[in-house]
Amino acid sequence: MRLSHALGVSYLADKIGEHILEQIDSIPAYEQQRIRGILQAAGLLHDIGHTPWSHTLEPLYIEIHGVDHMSLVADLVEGNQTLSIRGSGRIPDILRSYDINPEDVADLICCRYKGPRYLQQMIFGEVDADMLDYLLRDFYFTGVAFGHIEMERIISTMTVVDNEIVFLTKCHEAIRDFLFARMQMYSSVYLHKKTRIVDMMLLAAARRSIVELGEIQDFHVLTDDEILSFLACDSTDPWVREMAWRVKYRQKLFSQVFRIDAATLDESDISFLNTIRTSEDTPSLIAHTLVMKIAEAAGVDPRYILVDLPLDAVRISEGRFEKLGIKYVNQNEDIKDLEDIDPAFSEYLSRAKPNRNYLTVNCCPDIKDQVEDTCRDLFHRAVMPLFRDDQG
Amino acid sequence: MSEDAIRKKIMYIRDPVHGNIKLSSLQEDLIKTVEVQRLSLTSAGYNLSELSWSSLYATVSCPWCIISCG
Repeated sequence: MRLSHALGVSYLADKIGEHILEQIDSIPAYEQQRIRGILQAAGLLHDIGHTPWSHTLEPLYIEIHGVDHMSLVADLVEGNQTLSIRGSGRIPDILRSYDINPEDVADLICCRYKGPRYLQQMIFGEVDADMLDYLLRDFYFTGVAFGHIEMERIISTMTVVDNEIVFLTKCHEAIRDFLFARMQMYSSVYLHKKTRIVDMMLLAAARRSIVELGEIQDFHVLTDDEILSFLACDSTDPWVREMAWRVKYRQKLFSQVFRIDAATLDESDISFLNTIRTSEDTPSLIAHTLVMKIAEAAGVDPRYILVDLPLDAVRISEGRFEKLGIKYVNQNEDIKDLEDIDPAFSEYLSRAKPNRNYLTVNCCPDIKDQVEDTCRDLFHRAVMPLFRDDQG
Repeated sequence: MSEDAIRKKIMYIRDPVHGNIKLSSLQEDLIKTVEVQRLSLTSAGYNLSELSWSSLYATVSCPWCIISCG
C-alpha cells in the first residue's frame, strides 16, 4: 500500500507541477520537463527510508541511529548509503541519466530545497501532494463516511505569487473541506484508541527485542512480515513472543481503562502541560514513570500497562498539522490569509485538537479491573501532583 | 524489436484512487529499483486492507491495519 501511495504522490506532484509551471513563461519547455522529473522522483522516493511498520517503529530507528527516516531517504537518494539488499544503490545513477541532480530531489523531500519555494510547497507544504494522496487513499481504503476532497479544484486554483503557491479565494470551500477532513481522519482513524494501543504494543515488543536484547541487526531493512514473524516466533523473550502473537492475530489486545480529556484541561493544567513540554523529560519518559507508579499501586506487571500521550504522536508523524500558512489571492491580486477569509474556521482550527485525549491508560484485559480502580484512585485524587512530583 | 522500441511502450498503473496513472520513463525506471519495490512490503499495515474500516471497526474496533498516513 505504501508503494501505491508513493506512486500517487508522484502522480499528484507532477500534476501540480504541470499546472503551476505552465503559468510561468520564463521557464523553457525543456527545463519544465526536467523540473517535472524532479517532482516525480521526489514523490516516488519520499518514503523509501521508512522502517518496517513505518511510523510505529520509527522511534527505534531514531533511538539506534540518532536521526529519523528522512535522513535515510536523503542518503539513499544521494548515494551516501545503500540498503543491505542486493541491487540497492541504483537511484542516483538513474536520476543523473535524466539530467536530474539527486541532491535536488533529496532536498525537496527533506524540506531544505533552496530553489523556488513553490517547488518545495508541492512536496512539503500547507496543501501538498503527499497530504492530498494519503487522505484520499485512506478515505478510500478505510471506507469512512466523511472526507470528500475536491482535489481537482484545489489543484486548478493553485497559482504562484512572489514564488509562493497561493490559492484563488473562490477555492476556499474546497480548502476548508480538506482541512476539516484531515482533522476528522486524525481523530477517527489515525489516532483511534485501538490504533494507538496496537502501535504501542508492537513498539514495546520490538524495542525489547531490537534495542534491549539486540536480536535483530539493521531492522530497518526488513519488511513488516519479517519483523512480526521474528518477534512472534523467534525472539528469545517469551513476553516479546506473547505480545507479537497478540498483535499478529488480534488476540487479547489491550483496552483503554482511563483517559484525561484534552478539552477539559483548565488553565492551570495547560500551564502545567507547557512545563512538561519544555522540561527535559520526553513524553515517553513521562509515560514510563506513570506506568511504573500505576503498576506498583495496582500490584501488577508493568509490562502489561501502556500510557499514551496521543497528541505527541501527531507531532512526530505529521509535522504539517500545526501549519496554517495557507494564503489566498483575490481578483484584485490582494494576498489574504486564512484568518482574513474565514475567521471563524481559522479560530476553530487553532483550538481544535486531532484527538480528544491528552492521556490514556491502557492495559491487558486480564488486569483491567485492578488497573482501572488504581487509576481512579490515583488520578482523581492526585493526577496533577503525580506529574508535578515527577518534575521535582 | 530494439530496446528503444520496447522502451516506447508506455506503462500504466491502475490506481483505485487516481484511476489509470501513465508512468514517465523516469518513474518506470525508479519503480523498478529495490528501494521503491521495498515499499510494497513496508507499510503501516495493509495485510487486512481488503476489509473496510467500518466493518473492521464493527468487529474488533481496530482500524490500525489499514492506514497509510505519509
